[in-house]
Amino acid sequence: MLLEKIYYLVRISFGTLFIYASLDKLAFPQQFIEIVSNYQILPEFASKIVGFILPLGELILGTLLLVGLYIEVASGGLVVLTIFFTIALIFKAISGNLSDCGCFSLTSNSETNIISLIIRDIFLVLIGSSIFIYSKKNKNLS
Amino acid sequence: MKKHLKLLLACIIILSVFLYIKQKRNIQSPFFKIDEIKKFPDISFVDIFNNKFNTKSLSGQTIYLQFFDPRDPDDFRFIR
Repeated sequence: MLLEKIYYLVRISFGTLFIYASLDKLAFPQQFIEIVSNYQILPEFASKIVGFILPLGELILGTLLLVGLYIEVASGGLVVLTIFFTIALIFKAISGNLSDCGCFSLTSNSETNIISLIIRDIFLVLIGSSIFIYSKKNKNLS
Repeated sequence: MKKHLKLLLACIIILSVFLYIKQKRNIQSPFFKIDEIKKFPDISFVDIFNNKFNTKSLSGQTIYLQFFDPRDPDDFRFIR
């Protein structure tokens, strides 16, 4: 029973977190596309596509998780997204690129330690995976 | 039925987010079309714009000014 309550709390928080993360990116898409380009991982056209689609994905998947619809798909999708973010941050750390991370806000946070951002993302992957596994085991939960 | 209610709730959340974003864009980062700027010829960045771009070659294009801080008129950039 307690585990179930924790599950609901974590699921709602996780969904809300990704809705919040999408806000700035959706409000200022040009700035976010620039940040994606600064990662220097994708070609220009792909950066534009990712810059538009990624925030929408965060919003839709976060909303699904929040309301409890298609939980496995939503949590799985968010885990995959967060894995991509983590890989991008590792690439950024290796290349010594100190441009903005663009994770939750588009304002400059280049002073933030990139290692702490990677650890945070790994933590988010673990939380997302836990939601995925728990919801798969308990199909009656919504 | 429960699923339909959840879908409705999801739509309301997404709609609310888009309304919030629309409001945020208006408040925090105003964009002005160049035609709108021309209505205010006393604004100094029209000269900056003319120096930066050859306006003839931009005929038909929409240029935006993005202000990073609405209180600081010098902190802006041009977006084509």
